[in-house]
Amino acid sequence: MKKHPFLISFLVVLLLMSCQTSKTFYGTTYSNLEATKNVYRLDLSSYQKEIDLSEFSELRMLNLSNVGSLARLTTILNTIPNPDQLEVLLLNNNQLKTLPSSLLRFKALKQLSLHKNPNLDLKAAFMDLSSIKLEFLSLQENQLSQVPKEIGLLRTLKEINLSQNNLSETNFFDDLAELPELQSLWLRNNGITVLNTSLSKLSQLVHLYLEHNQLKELPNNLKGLKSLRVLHLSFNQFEELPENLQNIPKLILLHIDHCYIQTIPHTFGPKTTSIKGLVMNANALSSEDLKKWKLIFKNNFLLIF
Amino acid sequence: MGHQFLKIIFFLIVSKGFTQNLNYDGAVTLDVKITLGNQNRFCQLGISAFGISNYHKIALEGGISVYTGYLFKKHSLHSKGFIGGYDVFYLLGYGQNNNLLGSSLSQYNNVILYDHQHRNAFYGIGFGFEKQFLPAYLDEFEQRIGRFMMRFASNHHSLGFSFKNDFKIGGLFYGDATDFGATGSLYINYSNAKSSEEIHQVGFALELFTPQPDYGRIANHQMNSDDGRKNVWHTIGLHKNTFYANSYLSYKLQQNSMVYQLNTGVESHKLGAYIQNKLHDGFGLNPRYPWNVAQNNGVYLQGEVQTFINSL
Repeated sequence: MKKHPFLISFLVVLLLMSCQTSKTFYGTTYSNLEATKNVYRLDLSSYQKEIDLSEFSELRMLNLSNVGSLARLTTILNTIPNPDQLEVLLLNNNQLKTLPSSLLRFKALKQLSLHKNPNLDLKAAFMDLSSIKLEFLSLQENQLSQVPKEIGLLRTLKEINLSQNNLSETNFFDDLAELPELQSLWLRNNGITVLNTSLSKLSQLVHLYLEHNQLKELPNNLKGLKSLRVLHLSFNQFEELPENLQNIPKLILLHIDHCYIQTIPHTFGPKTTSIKGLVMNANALSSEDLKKWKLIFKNNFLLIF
Repeated sequence: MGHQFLKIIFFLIVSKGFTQNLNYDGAVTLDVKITLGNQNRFCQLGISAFGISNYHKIALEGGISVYTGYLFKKHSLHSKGFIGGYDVFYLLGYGQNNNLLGSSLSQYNNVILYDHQHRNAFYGIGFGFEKQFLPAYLDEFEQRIGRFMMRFASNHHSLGFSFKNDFKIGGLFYGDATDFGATGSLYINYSNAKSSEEIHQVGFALELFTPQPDYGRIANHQMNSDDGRKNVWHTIGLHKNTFYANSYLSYKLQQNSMVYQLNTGVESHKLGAYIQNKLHDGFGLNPRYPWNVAQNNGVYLQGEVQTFINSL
């Protein structure tokens, strides 16, 4: 009787250590080329010497940020002997205008990060990437003011991070609505004052992050956000908790802290909203209101006022 | 409120006017416990009460413990000072629970009560909550923790399942709704009472502990972010770097008026991240927490010795 639980425990731990998640994300991240065997994660963003990856056959994650020219990146990526293993690739801050053609070797690539490549031809990049089953794309700090409609070609995309750009117009929701798998959208720090009403077309979206914008209100027609469960609106300009949040049918978790909220509409309550986790500290509610609303939402699983 | 169940239990226990089909029993335990481990070191003096009641095949049981003591180490943090706390639980189920083995679900009190004159089956679910008052250096982790339980028992065998979390769900799961500290735990215990004087218990446990999230900062910590793909909190507070995830097996021997318990296992940030990430990513409770997923696993080891007297 005593042996079995011990055995199960060790098997559980062994399983966890050897699983794919462990190899791709939890293993040691090497920052030079001295070891080659069992290297799953390699960060060469600060590596100054010649890069030849022909000995690295197990790579799951590769960071080639700050490496330099397109020609150099193309050559490096071509040296990788087992391209079907690579799942995560970071090419931040490389002044790319086009994507390295050798990128298309990585058919199993799930995550691609292209921060700080403001001259990148996104239209061409999206067309190139449409042949890869990409799940996550990060385009932060690219001075984007538009998102090409070719984004709709990335049919397997689950998460896209468009934070720290100049996307104040938010007129690209129609194109994002074409992405059937899209679950998470980041639009932090984009100077957004008003959200385009086509936001409601993102019926597939589960997580929406809109922190550090200048939002004072939300569009009226939020019923279309049929799958949205998590909404982050912290560090905006709201003075009242938007009443139309109650129209989002499955919203569970709302972060709306660090705004200027002085009032919560009296219509809010456990019966009128699906929200079960509420984070709204650092607002401007009076102490009486704080007491009142804490009591009203007392059965929330998470409550931070 | 779920606490109404407690009132019902005690009402049934003390009621004199019920029919002859009503059975009730209970006992009180006074105990002293010493705990020594690489994460926790303290001694405690406590009193616990456990009661059962059943009417035909409908059974209720519940327990309460209060304790005080002196702390040397808790949550892997050294701190000296007095502590106190309480632990309350109750279950409703089918069958008869006259042998008092439901006492094995007490979170604080290691003493298992067993009345060998009764050999029945019981299948029940229930809830509980607990709170510990800590020295000032640790008092940010004083949240009330809620608990969901199940117990399946036959004769002198009892299998218990407890899930603990600081969340609050309705009036039944009664955590403090904070999502940090001892934020999630799972305990599975099998107890085998050979006699009133000799009881064995083996168990498996998972315990997760995180510091406070910093709600004043955007959740863009790089650690445990899957290379920037997931939101991860920055942490705040006096112990903002204190994380642990224990996975261990326990063995308890209760003989006469003594209880000995040994917990052995691993402390693993990788395990903590894996489990909590699954919950936070999947259930929509994101952001994640910045577990140091590159950190090597360590050993978790804890021993407890307890002496007691009870009213059985």
